[in-house]
This record gives sequence, C-alpha cells and structure tokens, in this order.
Amino acid sequence: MAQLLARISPIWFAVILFYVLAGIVSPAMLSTGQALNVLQVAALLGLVATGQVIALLVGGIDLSVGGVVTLTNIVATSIMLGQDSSIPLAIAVCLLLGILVGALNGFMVAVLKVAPLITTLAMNSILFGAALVYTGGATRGTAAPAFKIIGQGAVLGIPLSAVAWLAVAIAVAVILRRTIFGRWIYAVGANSEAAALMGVPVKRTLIGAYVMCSVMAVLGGLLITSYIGNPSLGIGEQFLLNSVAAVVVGGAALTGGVGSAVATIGGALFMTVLVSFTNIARVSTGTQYIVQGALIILSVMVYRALAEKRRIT
Amino acid sequence: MPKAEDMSADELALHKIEKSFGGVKALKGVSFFCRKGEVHCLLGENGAGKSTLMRILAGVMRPDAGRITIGGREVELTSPRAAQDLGIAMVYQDTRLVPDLDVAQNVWLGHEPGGVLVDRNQMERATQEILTRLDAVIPLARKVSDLSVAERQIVEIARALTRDPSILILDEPTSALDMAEIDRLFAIVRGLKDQGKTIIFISHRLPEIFAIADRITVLKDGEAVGTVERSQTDAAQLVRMMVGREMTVAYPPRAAKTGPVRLEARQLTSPGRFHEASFTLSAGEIVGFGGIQGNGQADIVRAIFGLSPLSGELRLDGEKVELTSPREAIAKGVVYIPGDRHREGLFMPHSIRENLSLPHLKSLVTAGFISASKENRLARDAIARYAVKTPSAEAGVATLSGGNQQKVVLGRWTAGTPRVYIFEDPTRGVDVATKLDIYRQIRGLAEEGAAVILVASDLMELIGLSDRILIFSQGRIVDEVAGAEATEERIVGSATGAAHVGGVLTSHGAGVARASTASRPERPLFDRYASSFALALLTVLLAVVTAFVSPYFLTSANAVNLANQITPLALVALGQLAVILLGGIDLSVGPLISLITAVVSFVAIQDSGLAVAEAIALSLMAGLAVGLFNAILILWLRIPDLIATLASYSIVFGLALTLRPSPGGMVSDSYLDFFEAHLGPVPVAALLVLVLAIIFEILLLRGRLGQRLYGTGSSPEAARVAGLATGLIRLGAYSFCAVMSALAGLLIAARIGSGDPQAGMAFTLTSITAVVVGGASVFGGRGTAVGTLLGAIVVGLMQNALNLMQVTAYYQYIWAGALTLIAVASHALQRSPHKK
Repeated sequence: MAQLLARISPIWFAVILFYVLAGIVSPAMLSTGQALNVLQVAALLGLVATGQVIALLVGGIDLSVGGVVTLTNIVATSIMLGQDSSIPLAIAVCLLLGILVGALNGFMVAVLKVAPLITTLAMNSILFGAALVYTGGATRGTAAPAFKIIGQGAVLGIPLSAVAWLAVAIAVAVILRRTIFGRWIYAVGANSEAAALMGVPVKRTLIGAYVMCSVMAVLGGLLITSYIGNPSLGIGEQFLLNSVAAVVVGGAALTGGVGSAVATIGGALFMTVLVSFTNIARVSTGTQYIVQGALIILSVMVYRALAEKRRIT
Repeated sequence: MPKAEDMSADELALHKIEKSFGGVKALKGVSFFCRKGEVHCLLGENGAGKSTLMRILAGVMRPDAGRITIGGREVELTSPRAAQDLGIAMVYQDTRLVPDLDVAQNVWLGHEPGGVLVDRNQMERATQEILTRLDAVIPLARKVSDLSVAERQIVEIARALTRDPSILILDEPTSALDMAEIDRLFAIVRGLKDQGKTIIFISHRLPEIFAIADRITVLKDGEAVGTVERSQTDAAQLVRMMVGREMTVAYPPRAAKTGPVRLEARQLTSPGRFHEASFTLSAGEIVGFGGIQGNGQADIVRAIFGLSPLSGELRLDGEKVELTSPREAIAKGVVYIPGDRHREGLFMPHSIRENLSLPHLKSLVTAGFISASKENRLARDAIARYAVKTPSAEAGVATLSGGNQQKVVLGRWTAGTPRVYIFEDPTRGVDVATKLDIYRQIRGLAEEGAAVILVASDLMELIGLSDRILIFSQGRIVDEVAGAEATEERIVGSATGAAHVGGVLTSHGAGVARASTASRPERPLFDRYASSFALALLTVLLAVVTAFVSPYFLTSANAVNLANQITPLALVALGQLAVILLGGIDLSVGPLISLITAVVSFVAIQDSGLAVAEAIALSLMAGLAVGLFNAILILWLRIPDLIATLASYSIVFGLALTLRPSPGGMVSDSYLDFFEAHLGPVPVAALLVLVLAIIFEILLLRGRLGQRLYGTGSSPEAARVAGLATGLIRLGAYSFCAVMSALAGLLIAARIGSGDPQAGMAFTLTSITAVVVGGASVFGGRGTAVGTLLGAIVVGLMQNALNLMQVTAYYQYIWAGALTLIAVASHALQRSPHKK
C-alpha cells in the first residue's frame, strides 16, 4: 500500500488538498458548476503544458509556446472568418506552422547546440512580432460557429474541452511511456551521451520532441480560440510562464528525463484551481504572479527532497 | 619507538581517513605519514584510493572520518583555499586549468600580483621565472586550450609552485610526458626536495618510483598495505603488496578452444590516435587490449563502435562492414560497455527496467507499443542473470550500490545476441565480490560464442581474464602475448619499450608523443576584439545607410533620442553579461525594471531633491534585494538559474502589478531634470554608462575581477581548485545584474514619466540579445563589455533606423528575435570546426 502511494505523484494530493481548502474558504469553489468550469479552463493550459513537459523531458524548455498560441489564435480566426467550411484549412495551416516552429527550435537546439532557453525566447519574440505584423495591430475574423463547440460545448454535462484535453494528454502519456520514441525522449533527457551509445538517434529525438511540443501548443491555441471565439493579440503570453509552472508543479525536473504527462494533468489542474480560487477570493493579479513564482520554487524543492529521500531508502 | 618522536619526524600525518561514495567505501581508514624533505611515492592500482586520499589532502573533498596533522598540529582542510594556506599544493593528473585563460593567468589564478588591476608585467616576469626554473618554454600569452597535454602539465606544476608550498602533491604527473620531459620533471622534483619540501608522488609505474622515491606507501582497495624504504625493497615486493589479495581472486578458467573468426580488423587507422592496427577475434575468445592509458587502445574500440571515423577494413563473421554510428554497430551485433558508467552508461533518474530495456525496445514492440510483459520479462532475466540486488525492477538505478549499478550496465546486453562485446574497465569502482561475478559473466558470454574485447587499465584484471593480450604503445600494437604467459612486467615492458633488467625495469618514460601545438604568434587582443571590431563596422554601416535613407537620422535631436534609447539597454546588458560570463542567465531583469518604475512613480512625486534621493536609494535597495534573492535561490537552494530567475520573474512582476496594476502616477520634474541632465548636448546618463562600460572592460581585461569571472565561468571546477570563492563570485554577479537593472529602471521611469508594470518586460530578451550579439558565449567564460555595449548600440540603432524608415514598430519583435538566433547560431557554427 505504502509503495503504491509512493508511486502516485504528490501533485494529486496537492490538487485534492488545495481544492478542499479552497472550498472551505469559499464554498462556491465546491459547486458542480465551478468544478466543471475549472475543468473547462484547465484544458486550455493543460494542452500547452502537455507540450511543455516534453521539452523539459529532453532537458530543454520551450518559451515559444506563448508565441505559438498567439499566432495560432490570430491565424485560425483570420482564416475561418466565421465560416464553418474554412475550419479544416485553418487547422491544417496552424498545425503546419507548429511543425515548422518546432522543427526550427529543434534544429537550433539539436544541430547547432544553441541553449534551448535562448532559442525559444527569441522564437517567442519572432512569433509575437509575426502576429502583430500579420494583423497590423488590428485583429480581424472570428472563430467559426461549429469550431466553438469544442471549446464551449459539453457532453453529458462534461465540458468538451476537458474531454479533448484529457484524451490528448493520455495519448501523449502513452506515447511517452509505451513507444520507442517516448523512451528515447526520456533517455536523451536523462543522459544524452549514454543514449547515443545505446543507439538512440539523439538529434532526431530532440527535434521530434520540440515538434511535438509546438504541435501541442497549436492544439492549445486552437482550443483557446474555440473557447474565446475571437482573435486576441497576446493571448498566448499568459500560457508561457503558466505552462512551465504547471509542468514543474507536476514534478518535472529542468535537468531532463524526469516528469510525466499524467502528472502534468495534475499540475495544470492545480494551477487552474489556484487562479480560480484567487479570482473568487478577489486576490489581485499581482499576488497571483507572486504566488505562482513562490510555487515554482517550492515545488522544485519538494520534488528534490522526495527524490533524495527515495535514494537513501 | 617512542610515539612523541614519531610525531615530530612526520611533517604530515593522516590518521584513519575514511571516505565513501554512494555506499562504496573508497578509503577504509587509511593512515599515511610523510617526513619533511622526502619524496614519498603513493603506489597502487586504479581505484586503490590514491587520488581520493590526495583530494582530501588538497581540501577538494572532506573525509567522512579521520584526523590530519601538519607539523604536529591538527588541521581542518575545509576548502582548497584552506589547504593552500597551510602550504599544500596539488598538481592534478587531468589538469585543472581554465581553458579560456592564458598561461600566465592560469599560473597566478586566485592570487594575481597587483591590486584591483593585475600587474601583468610582474605576473609575466614571475611566471617566466618559474618556467625557466622548470626549463620549459611556453608562450605566456597562449590560451591553455591551445596547449598540448604535456605543456598543460608544466603549467599546472608552475601554478603549484607559485604558492611556495611545503607539501607538493603530484598526481600521476608523468602520464602524458615523454622521456625527456619526465627526466626534467624528476630534476625539478629533486631540486624541490633539496629545498626541504615534502613531495608526494602518485604513480603506478614501478620504474619511475625507483628512480625518484625515498619511501613508498602502497595502497590497495582503500587500505594502506604498508610503507617501505626504496633501498630496502624491489619490484617483486611492491607488486606483491599492490596485488595482495588480488592473487587470490579466482579468475574463471580460460577458453579451452575457440571458434571461427568473428571480427577481423585490417590496418585500422585514425591519424593521431591509432595506426595500422590489425587483429582477429574468434568466437569464445577474450582478447585484452593493454598498455599505458591513452595509447590508442580506448580510441580504437570507440572507433570500431562507430563513435569516431577510422580507415581500414573491418569484417564481421567474414562480411565486410562499415560502422559509422553506435546504432549501426549495435544492429550488427557489436556492443560497447563504457568504463565511465555515470557519464556514459546509466540513466540515473530512471528505473532498472528502463535502463535495461532501452537498446532492445524494437524487439519488445507489439502493434506499435512496448509490451509491458515482454519488457518485464527482459528486466527479470537480466536481474536474475547478474544477481542484481534490488527489491524490484522498478527501483531507481540511483538507489543501487556501485557494484549493482555496474551489473545493470552489463546486464543491459543480456537480451539480444551480440556477436562482439567490447568491455572497458568493467570492474571500475566495484567491490571484490562483484568483480568475481562480473568476471564469470564475461567469461560466460565468451563461452556462449561471443568474441570479447577487454580494455582494462588494471593489469591484473587484463592478465587474469584475457586469453590473449594485444599491447598498445603510441597508437600501435607492439606486442601480443597469451594470457596464460602474460606478466605485468612483460606488458609494462612492451608498452614502455623498457628492457627487463634484473627484476627491475630501467627508468624509461612511457612517452606518448603528442603533437606539439602549432607555433603561431599570440594575438590575444586581436582574438578578443576581432568580433567587436566587426560589430563596430556593422554599426557604422547601419548608421551610414540609415543616414542616406532618412536625413533626420543625423540631427542632434535624433542622436540624443538614440542615446536615451540605448543607455538603459546597455546598463541591463552589462549586468546580464556578468551573469552570462558565469554560464548563468537572469530572466528577472525585465520585471525588475517595471517594478522600479512603479516604485519611482510613488516616491519621486514631490519636487524635491530629497524625494529623488529617496527614489534612487529605494530602487537600488530593491535591485539589490532581488539580486540577493536570485543568488539565494541559486546558491543556497541549488535551484537551476533558469528556473530560479523564471520564478523571481513571476514574483517581481507580481510585485510590480501589485504596486501599479496599470500605468499611472507622475514623476516629479526634479526627478526628470536629474535623470535627463545634459552636458552640452550629451545626456549625462549616456556618458556615465559609457564610462561604466569602459571601466568594466578594463576590469575584465586587466583586473582580478575579470580573471575571477572568466575563470569561474569557463571552468567552475578549476576555479574552485584554484581557491576562488566561486559562490561569492556568483552572488556578486547576480547582485550586480539586478542593481544595473534597477539603474536602468530609474532611467526608464524618467523616460516615460510614470510607473508602468509592463515597461521593462522587453528587456529580458533584448539584454540577452545585446550580450550574445556582442560575442559572449552563453556557456560562460567568453565575452567582453565592449562587445556588449556595441551589441546594445546595434539593437538600439536598428530600432531607431526602422522607425525612421517608417517600418512599423511591430517588426522590432521579429528582428530582435531573429538577430538573437543569428548571433547564437553563428557562434555555434564558428565553434564547431575548432572543437569538432
């Protein structure tokens, strides 16, 4: 039993504990409506974080997810222009964009050996600039009606966005844990030299990981677009730091090879509950950022302490 | 013998020193005594604990238990600095020098002559003096990265001598030297001995020891076997002491008969590493590759495994193969088990199961997914076969002892059916019982029909396990001997070319002649400023083009505007440079600038000098606080700087938002006047920043500060060993960066005239852009203040030029990002041909 408990990521206890605490402070948190709302919103961050965890698993980081989300939102709405018939084209263009960005990030990191932080930070700036230039500062277009269903609709009362998120996140978790490519990602992140000696194509794995990360950010961007229904310049910026926070709170280590897509679901839920609670408790945005920063530090320390304890026993 | 007398005779005494690494006892209560003015050799095989013992003496490691006395007084060797202050100096086998600093700088790192500025003349004179004493000719201004291994060794010895040590430790100083160099080294050692210095000389080469030692202490498996006078011992006795219980290790019986040839190598060559090596390997056979370390035996197996190019022909079971990557080698059934398991063999955060299955994933897949049952079976089989002691296959390899970790590394290849196994030091750092297990396993693999290459630096292991031994010297196979007939003397003799005379090997150096470095003239200033010069040209070009397109560019109004734009960026970039030189990064600079504008917008609202002073003081304090906070996260809590400053980014941004949720407030006129003061047409702030950049550059180029920053950034380990307080240096850099950002925040507040929680956000990227465009390496150790200033100017100039050319401001995000990518990518491309 104790062993089983030890294998469950601590994030789930944190999510439950925090949700209950929040409920005690403000009972509104415990209503079904609010819980479903949390799920619906968590999906937006959750998808982006599912990509981010892959970048951290290979020992990198992707700060361009914010720019990818923004650009996806802008491009998707401008192609759809409210027409259902344009949905496939919009999705295809955005996915292509994501693949391109990810491949470029991966190329810089894997082949040119540029620090991932610098590569993706610069890429984020380029993508945000591209969105600005593309729109000329004034957004146009809107999401197609049918497209909004996935972000705003529900099936049997459960928000569709949450269903989509969980399906994708679990699929990624299976890919990471149960396919060769997924194992390569873990191996390259933990020790790329050893991985190369074991016949793992390190560069291909890195590039693939960054592509996957960007594609997840595109999916996140599409879901966000569907949820808000409109273009919104800079909508992605809030997901940049938040996605890293969700992943780190979910136990991924910046050193690579440690973390899981399933625990990241917990991380995204935790961050969303936190925001939702601070909103209900009328805490200022400023305080939210402070709490978020403190939380990142705290979780790095807690997970490290847990890892060291496991090593001794 | 009376005890008191014994104590007084010993200059240095180590009592019952113990040290463990992750469950493996490296030192099991070693006592070791040295007299004043003797050359005391510490002898033992690889892994006997010699280096660990000496690292404790040098203050690099702390012992788990035991006492150390020097001159009869008990001492605490808490840091390299503490050891140096007590007169202990150590010369490391794998030199601990800073590659990006030159010879003179390395020799004096940590105690350079001069004050704030290094007295370069005095330093060169003193270095030259020592080098002359060592009879060595090395250009003082040459970077250590351009030196040969032997030259580095000399530099390291010179460095040890600068502190005029009373106890000098030489850790296998001869491994990279040729005969003449060894003779010279020995002359130096004798000279030092005549000066009354105590010299501890680590080696495992008997001829050298007989040439130089007064007394010899033998270490074996972390214990001191005994101490003997050179005049009262011979090689046979020392070998017996070294080998000791090893003789009782029961090696598995050798192969009775071997099968067909599995691997045939013809004329394998890789220039500078190995030459025309031809050999065959039969099924069922274990062939040892022996010789002094670094004579090509390790290089050749790595090349066979596809890790580096080679010419020549390789046949596997008669079929010609070309293995250009580990992936192909493994596919063809050739596997390589590296000696350094932590660096090349294990995935520390992962479970035993995942460690074992990685190379076999393909065979575990059904319908695209890895079958859990197949994988578990594979893990169970390997664990059972190698008797890995673990509660479960799911346990992390990090929780295992060294011996069990090694079993996982070996057990990984149980599955699949490799045809050729290459083992490199398969029992490094494991206990005796595990060694026996591993020997049996390796023999078992051969018996099942595989061909095995064993590269072992432990001669007893090589002899005990091999059916045949090929001996390498200077990249060539110089001798072959059957395992049953091999002796340590024969192998060492062949490897060193020494004659076997009366049981004692004559004193011949095991020279590996390394190509000496190309003798091009040193142009340190050119090397340092070439990229800055190019950048300056680019700046001029940009200015000329802009002036042509827009006449307004050359007006003084625009020039002032430009200076005002560049000044805050240059400040932040100089701060960021200090951090990046150390291989770190500070993402919190942007929000910090925003926070400062918010602070100023509350404090500097009254038209009084006091309010301005208050605003400045408060801002600088806030900056310092953020810098210290970052340093605490990184140094104390050991959070990686990226995530630490990302967290403080969030926190500082939160503080800024709390103070000023939206832009607002109005700063006083006296504040504006103060920060926008002009000297003639020139903004004072811009002048001051220019002066600051120049001072920073001088300190980097000629100051002690520069040596500390470059040293710590280029090689933290070397800097620590040199006695630098690397933690303090990092703390200083983060504080400096934050204070610079605070100053920039004050300027921004003056420019926008109010507080704005978003005002500084762009600076996080642009400051990094300026630094990397200015030629600094994000991996630390390289960069200049002049380059950074030019980087900031280029960024500011481009912004200004595009504005004047009526290009929408939206493009600035694109080119700022693109410029950064181009800069770092071009560094990467420049770097790659040099380092390969």
